Amino acid sequence: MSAHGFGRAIIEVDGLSKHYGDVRAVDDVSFSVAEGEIFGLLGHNGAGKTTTIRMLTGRARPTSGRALIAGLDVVHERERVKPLINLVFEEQNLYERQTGRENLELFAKLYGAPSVRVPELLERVGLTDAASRRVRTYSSGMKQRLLIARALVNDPRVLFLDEPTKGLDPSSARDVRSIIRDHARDGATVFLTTHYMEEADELCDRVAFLAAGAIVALDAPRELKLRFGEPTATVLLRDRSEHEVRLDDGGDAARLESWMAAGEVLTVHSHEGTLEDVFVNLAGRPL
Amino acid sequence: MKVVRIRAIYLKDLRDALRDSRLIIAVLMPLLIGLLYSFMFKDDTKPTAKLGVVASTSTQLPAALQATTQAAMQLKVQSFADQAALTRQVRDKKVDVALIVPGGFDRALKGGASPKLTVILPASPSFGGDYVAAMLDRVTQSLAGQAPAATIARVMLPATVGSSESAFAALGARKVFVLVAVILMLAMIAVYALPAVLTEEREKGTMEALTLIASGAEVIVAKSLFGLTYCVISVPLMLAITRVVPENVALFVVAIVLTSVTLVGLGLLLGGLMRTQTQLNTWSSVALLPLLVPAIVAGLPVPGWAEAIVSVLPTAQTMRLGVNALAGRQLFGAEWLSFVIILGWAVAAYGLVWWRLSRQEAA
Repeated sequence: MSAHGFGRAIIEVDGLSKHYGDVRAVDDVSFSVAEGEIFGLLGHNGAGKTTTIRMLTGRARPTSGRALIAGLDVVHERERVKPLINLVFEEQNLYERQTGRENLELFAKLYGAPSVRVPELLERVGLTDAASRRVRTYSSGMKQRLLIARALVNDPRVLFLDEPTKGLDPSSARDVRSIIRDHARDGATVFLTTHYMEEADELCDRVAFLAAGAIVALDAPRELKLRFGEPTATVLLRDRSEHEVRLDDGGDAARLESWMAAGEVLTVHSHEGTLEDVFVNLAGRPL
Repeated sequence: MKVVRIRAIYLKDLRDALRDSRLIIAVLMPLLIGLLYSFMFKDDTKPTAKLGVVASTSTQLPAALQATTQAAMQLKVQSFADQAALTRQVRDKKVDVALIVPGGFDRALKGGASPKLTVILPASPSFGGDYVAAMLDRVTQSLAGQAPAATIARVMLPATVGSSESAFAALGARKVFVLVAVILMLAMIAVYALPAVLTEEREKGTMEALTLIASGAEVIVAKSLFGLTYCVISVPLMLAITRVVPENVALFVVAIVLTSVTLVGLGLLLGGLMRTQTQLNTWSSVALLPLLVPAIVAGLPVPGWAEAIVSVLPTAQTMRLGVNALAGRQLFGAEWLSFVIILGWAVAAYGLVWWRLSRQEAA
C-alpha cells in the first residue's frame, strides 16, 4: 500500500521538464499516482497541465526527467504504454460526419477491443438511442459523453482527462463526473486536469497545484484546505449582530468564550477553507 | 505496423469521403470537364496526314496514294525541291511521311525495272505516316500492273520529342482533352482531396486521437491507400463515361497507377505542411498549376527552356505515356525515361513524408 492509502504507484514522474526554447512549460515536476486513485492537476491556463498530460501520454518528448506508467517508460516503451492508457481530450475531437457508433467502432478496432464493447459503452454513457445519429447533430454534453466512451473503449488502466467538464451545463457535468467515478470504482486510475475547484474537491483523492510549470502543493483536498485555508467562523448573537472570528486567534477565542458564557450566541458557522482559497493562497490569484 | 489498424482508418476515410461534399466535388468537377470535352469534340473526323514528295520528273504515285487511302484518311501532298529540306520537315513532324521519287520512276515501273523508291519516316510515325508507308507496295504494284513493282527503301529518322500536333492528329482533340481531364482529376485528389482529409484531422484534433494508439506510419499508409483508391475508382469512371478506351491498356494502367502513387505522395507532403483548411484552400490552387500546366502543354511547340522545365515534372510524362497508350504506339519516344522521371518524384515525395514523420515522432 502507498502512503496515501491506495495501491502501488502506477504513474511515477521524476524530474519531468519540458522547455520550449527559454519557456519552461513544465519544470522539474515529480509525483506519483497510485493504482485506483483519482488524481487532479490544477492550475491556471499555461501552468503546464496539458503539457504534463501530453508527456505522460507520449505525445510530447520531455526535455529532461522521466515518467513511468505501470513501470514502463512513456518515451522508450511508448508502444507498450499505449494500450494501457487513454485520454479524454480538451477539445471535442470526434468524427462529426460519422455516427456515434461508428466513432466507437473505429477506436474499438484500433485498440483491438471486442465489438461487444461498443453497445456496452453506448449504454453506459446513455447514448444508445442516439448511436445511429451523426455526431454533428449531438449536443455538447452528448459529445463529451461520447468522448469519454471512446476513452474507455480499451478499458484503460490509466484514464487521463483534460478539462472533462469544460463548457458543459451543470447536468451534463454531473453525468460526466458520475461516469468518471464509476470508472475509478472499477479499479482504474484517473488523472484529470480541471479549472473547477469544486469538481476537484468532489472527485479527487489527491490534487496537485501547478504554477508556472512547477508543483506548489500536493495532497488530499481536505489536508490542503486545513493547511492553507483560513480557519474562521461566523457567530450570530442574540442582538442579531454577526461576527467573524478566527479559530486560531487567541483574542477571538476569548471573545467567543465570553459570548458563550453570557449566553449571547445563537449560531456558530465554521468556515473550512476551499480549494479556491488554497489556490489563491499559493498562486496569488484565483483560477 | 498493424494491418487491422490501417484497414480501420482506411475504411473510416472512405466512409467519411462519401459524406464530405468537398471531396465529392473535387472528383466530380474533373469528371464533368471530361464529359464536356467528350461532347464538344467528336471522334468521327477523318485523320489527316501530310505526304512530302521530292520528284525530279512527273509521277502519278502521290495521286494514286491519295486515291487508295481516301477511305481511311485525308492525305495532303506537298512537293519539295530537295531531300534535305523534306527530311527536316519529317524530323520536325510537319510532314508525316516523305517519298524520294527518282527521275523516270513511272516509266521504269511500267517497264518492269523495279526502280528504287525511298520512304522517310520519323522515329515515332503517325497513324497517317504508317498507313501511307504500308500502302506503297500495293499502289506501286497497281501502277506497274505486276509484282514486285518497286524496290522500297525505308528510312527511319532518329527519335525526337513528340509533338501535340501528332497527338492531336493521331488521337483527335476529344481523347487528348479527356486525358488532360484524367490528369486534372488525379491532381485534384493529390493537392486537394487528400490534403483536405489530413488537414481536417489535424485541425479538429482527431489525428491526436488516432495516434494515441496508432503509429504515424499506420495513419500515413491508410491515407495513401485512401488517396490511391480515390484515383483507382475515378479514372475508370472517367474513361467509362467518356467512352475512351486505351489501345495499350497495360501501358495506360501502369502509367496511371505510378502517377497516382506519386501524386498521393505529393498530396501527403502538402497535407503535412498545411495547418488549416483556409491555408489549404489558398495553396492547393497554387500547387495545382505545376501539375496541370505540364499536362496541357506537354509536346506543344514551346521554347526549349520551357520544354526542359515541363519535362521534369511528373504529369508531363504521364501525358506522354497516356498519349502513347491511347494511340497504341509511340508518339512520344523514350517511355523508360518518362517512367524514371515519375518514379523519381515518387521516391522524393515519400522520402520527404518519411523524414517529416520521423522528425515529428522524435519531437
